[in-house]
Amino acid sequence: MFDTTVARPSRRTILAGGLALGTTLLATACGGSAGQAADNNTLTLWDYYQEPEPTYLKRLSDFTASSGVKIERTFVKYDDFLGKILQGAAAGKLPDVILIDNPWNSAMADQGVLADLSDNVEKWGKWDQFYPGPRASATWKGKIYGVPNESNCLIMYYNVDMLRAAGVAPPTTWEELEAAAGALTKGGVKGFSTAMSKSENAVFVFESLLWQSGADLATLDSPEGLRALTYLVGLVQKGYLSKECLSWDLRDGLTQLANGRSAICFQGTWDAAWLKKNMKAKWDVALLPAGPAANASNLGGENWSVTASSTNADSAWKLIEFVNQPSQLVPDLVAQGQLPSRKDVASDAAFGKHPLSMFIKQESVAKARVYGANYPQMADALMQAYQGAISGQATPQAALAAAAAKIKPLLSKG
Amino acid sequence: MSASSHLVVEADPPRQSSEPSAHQRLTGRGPAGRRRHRSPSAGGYLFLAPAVVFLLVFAIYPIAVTVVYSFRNVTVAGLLSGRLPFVGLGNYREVLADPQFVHSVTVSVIFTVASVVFQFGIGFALALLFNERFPGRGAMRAIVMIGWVLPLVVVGTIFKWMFQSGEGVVNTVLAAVHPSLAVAWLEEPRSALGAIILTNIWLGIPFDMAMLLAGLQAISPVIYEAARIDGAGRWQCLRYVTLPLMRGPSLIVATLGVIYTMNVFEIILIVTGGGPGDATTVVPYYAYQRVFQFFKVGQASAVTVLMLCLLALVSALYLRLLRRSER
Repeated sequence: MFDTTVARPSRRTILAGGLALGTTLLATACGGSAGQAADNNTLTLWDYYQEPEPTYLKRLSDFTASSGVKIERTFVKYDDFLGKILQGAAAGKLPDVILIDNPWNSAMADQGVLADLSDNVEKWGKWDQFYPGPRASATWKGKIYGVPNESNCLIMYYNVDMLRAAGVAPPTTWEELEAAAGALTKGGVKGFSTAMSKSENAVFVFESLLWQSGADLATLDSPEGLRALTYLVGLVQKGYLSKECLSWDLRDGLTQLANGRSAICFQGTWDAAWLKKNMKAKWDVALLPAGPAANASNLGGENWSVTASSTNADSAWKLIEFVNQPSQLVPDLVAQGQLPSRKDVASDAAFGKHPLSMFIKQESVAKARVYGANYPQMADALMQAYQGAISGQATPQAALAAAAAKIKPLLSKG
Repeated sequence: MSASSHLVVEADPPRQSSEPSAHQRLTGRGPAGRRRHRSPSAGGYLFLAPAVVFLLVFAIYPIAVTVVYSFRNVTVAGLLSGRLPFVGLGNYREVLADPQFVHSVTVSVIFTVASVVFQFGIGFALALLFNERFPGRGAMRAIVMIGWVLPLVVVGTIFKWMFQSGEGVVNTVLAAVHPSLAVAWLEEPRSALGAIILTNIWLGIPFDMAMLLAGLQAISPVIYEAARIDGAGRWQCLRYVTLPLMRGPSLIVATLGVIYTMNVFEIILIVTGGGPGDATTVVPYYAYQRVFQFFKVGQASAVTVLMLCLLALVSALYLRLLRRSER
């Protein structure tokens, strides 16, 4: 059948999956770029900072200056990161250290990619200082596979003037949010905006609602799970949240707020700096409205991990210990607009001011996504559920039942 | 352009067939000039080597790896340690039992049939148009070919913008006609699939048109002249001369259309990401997700092997049609 390739135009010729998969594996087999360092004096590191803050690079160069161990840093695009790990594993060329998104931590630990750091962390003696959320994000089946670098979480942003004009106080419960969104929706302005796209971005929001309602991935088809999705679908059906949210990522939701097209928005704490630059009207932040069951938010952040295949694990741990000293950590967190993952750093004066103090308060009720190796597949099932229900493909009950049927066996496997 | 190279292949069937004639086979003798072809020197093989190496490295090896993986449980830890346990047909069984896979097959079939029918229909109409002589024909044909020249990423991004529910040009125009016509293109399951199909139709028209136009131009004017002398009008010329003579090229264009469309992946990734929900998740996207998002390499390999078998069948059909139309 390959004769056809001669006659076929070269465009779109690749037999989609098959060749693409094969050639990518092959490409790595033919010599990937950032492989394992041969000598003990060099550590290889992958992160997904396209434009790393100088403060972050300084932490790395300070380590080299103090220890003499060189660091070969490679930038890998966020969207490609998991794929590159897979290719690196296939080619036997994984880096020593990776700085990863925290939901990946348990997934990679479960897959056997990461080294068990429990002993090192115990000797270090700082683990008690970390908040429960970040600690949970780095723990899988009782063992520690990462050290949280920084944290962030979902929080509520709002347009101060719009709320004042409508005579509405920042909502503190679901009922208040719905009422406020109703009062604020008029003309081209929607009361509420947030991400509901088909990406982890929006799962970040949906999981917060689930937790606030008292449900979790294991109990999606419970009355609590149904309450969360019904509430969300209700906001769209009443017109308080635009249906376009199905194609919005988190930043798109905040753009609505910045452009005066929505009055209240859920978005991560990390985007406060962007909003400051891009929103002319007066804005402020408040804690996410409490659900029927609890105050909850979703915890994001990055963890330092060492790969199981690293032949340089001792130096790798030294690097992690070095860059996580408060004197190294605080300037970088401040520059990046990120939150500390630990109490001893959070007490630093730099985090005492509004809105950072509000962020830290929200972080204290933020939960980590710790669902093991099959999490990406579970997240996909969640996306299908909320997208299906919002777009009207399925009723909330049917959408949740379908997602639960997919997720339950994955959870028990993990 | 690659399209034209195809036309050359098609228009000029290999005259110097290396197949020995029946007589040669019986007597074991060929014309003296043919001798060298029958015992090629080492140098001859050397010229062949680049093509063979290319095929081995970029086609045979990846496919072989994919087939092997489809029978194994491939995990990251397994790749690191080199232990990939054999699971027989386990991956195939899991995939075939997955309702999402079945759904993706349905989506692929709808997507392929709708795309091919309209690409072909519109392509044929345009080919008939451009087969006539009229002022500005060259320029207009060039404009139609634009879809062929643009990179898929650009096309995908442009169509995503056009279909956006807020300020997208499609909705702006529709709303100007009548406000009820504007729909949330990419947020409604049916219209999202429609949007993807429209994008793909637009992309495929130029190729179909170019191929069919070449076919039309290969029809000798003498036949039309004879038909007209026999009293055939325009419509009868089309019905009794053009269409029967275009049967071969049409079948080939349609078969190629099926092969391409089954493999379309990039524009779906860009325009809808397979959503909303799984409304536009075609089989290649399903396989992509399984590898690069879920790390299910074995299952994804099984899916691609199944697709490979199906496309091999379609390709075999294509080759048969090609041979028959050359005869």
